[in-house]
Amino acid sequence: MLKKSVITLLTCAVTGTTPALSAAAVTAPTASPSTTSTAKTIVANTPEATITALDAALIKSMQGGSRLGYSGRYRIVAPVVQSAFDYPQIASLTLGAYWKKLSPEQQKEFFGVLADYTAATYAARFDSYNGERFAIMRSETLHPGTEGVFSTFTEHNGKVHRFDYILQKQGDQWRIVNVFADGVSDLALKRAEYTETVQKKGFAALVAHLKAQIAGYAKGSQ
Amino acid sequence: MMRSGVYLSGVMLALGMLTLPGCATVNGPQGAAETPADPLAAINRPMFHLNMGLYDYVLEPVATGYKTVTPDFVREGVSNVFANVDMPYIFINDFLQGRGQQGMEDLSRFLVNSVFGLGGLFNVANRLDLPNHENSLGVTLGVWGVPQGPYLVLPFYGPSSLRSLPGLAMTIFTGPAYYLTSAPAQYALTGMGIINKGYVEGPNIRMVQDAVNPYVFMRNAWEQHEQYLISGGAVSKNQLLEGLQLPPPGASTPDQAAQSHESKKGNP
Repeated sequence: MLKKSVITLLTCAVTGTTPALSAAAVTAPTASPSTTSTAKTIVANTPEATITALDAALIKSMQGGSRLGYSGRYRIVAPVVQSAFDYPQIASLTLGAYWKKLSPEQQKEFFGVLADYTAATYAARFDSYNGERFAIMRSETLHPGTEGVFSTFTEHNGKVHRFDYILQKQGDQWRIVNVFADGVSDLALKRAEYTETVQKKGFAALVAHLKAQIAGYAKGSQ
Repeated sequence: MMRSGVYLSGVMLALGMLTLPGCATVNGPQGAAETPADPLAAINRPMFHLNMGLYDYVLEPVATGYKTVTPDFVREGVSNVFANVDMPYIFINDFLQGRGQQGMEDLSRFLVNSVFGLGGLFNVANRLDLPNHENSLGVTLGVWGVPQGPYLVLPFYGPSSLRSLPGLAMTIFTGPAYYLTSAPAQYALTGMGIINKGYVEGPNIRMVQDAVNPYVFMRNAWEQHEQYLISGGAVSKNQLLEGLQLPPPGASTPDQAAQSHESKKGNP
């Protein structure tokens, strides 16, 4: 179950700039009418569409739970997660100055592993469903070419978590470059963790750790 | 009796909480690294590893056994009761921060669950859409302008700061164990609280342990979340954009910015 802290969201509509809001929610089909989707039209190639697709995949993964097993959940989540995030951008921002010291092959390897690690983490942690729901509260242009989509995740016990997604347009698709979970920046965490690890143990150790973690999720999750 | 109440509450605090209460960094991506923000790292790191070891070898096995021998509804009920007894600490701090609406919601949640939820056994407030907030005296002091002070990892308790230390005492006086007059009841309550904490917080602790650098992950997450709570959930635009590569004016996307940059390099 996606337990408290690390989660993500979903939902709908509108153009891609300016404050466009509407509370659309992604919940299970059995959720009460008051909390279910307010029938928004999801416009393709909008920041909201990216988040909607991600949240829908996560809900599906949670509902599949142990019936699907880790591998089944991974198959649901991985394609969506791989396209929803801008991994080359995240990888370069995460490693900072060290990124430019890597060869193109190493850079490619790193953002590939990062993408797989993200998908594996989602598949491992979104593993059961108990009425949790995602909802997009609003979206906003933070800077030309950079959008914020502000959403919530409500646990079965009523605790509401905030997920603020920052997206930038790559080609014709809006992709996530950072997520704030209850005010905690994923990019800041990764940057602090990864740069210290690279400095103390080296790039190969960082990649090896991520690969071991992916293997651990596959082995340890039901 | 009162003294043993204090003692037991202290033990509960100590043993119960390898938790990850909320948190916050003021520094953002760059500042999160090490030094000036973590002057006590030489003490904090060993303490962090001690706490993780205690979780691995004591709390986690106990929580696993608890999960094995109890049905879901029992664990849910126990978890609800302990969440409910935490509410006075939360709504008192809501009001101390001048957050009246949040305080009324938390007070209502406490009353509804205590009365209609049979002492908190059932989470009735959830059906009334009364949200469940986090709060602490450390957050209150932050709202009042008290600086965080050095980051601390407390034995058994976990992430904290100099500013958060008075909150530990406050949790004792707002918790039920302090007011019990029966020592066996205090022991039972304390023990159950520890087991429940291990069960409830297990996923969070495992998330820390799964991190590439668990100590750095927890410190940064705690500090960032603490700041988030102090700001009342407000995250500024500057914070949201911090650390990103932003397209310059005229280029609406990072793609165009990169192309613009490349063409400038080619045509100085």
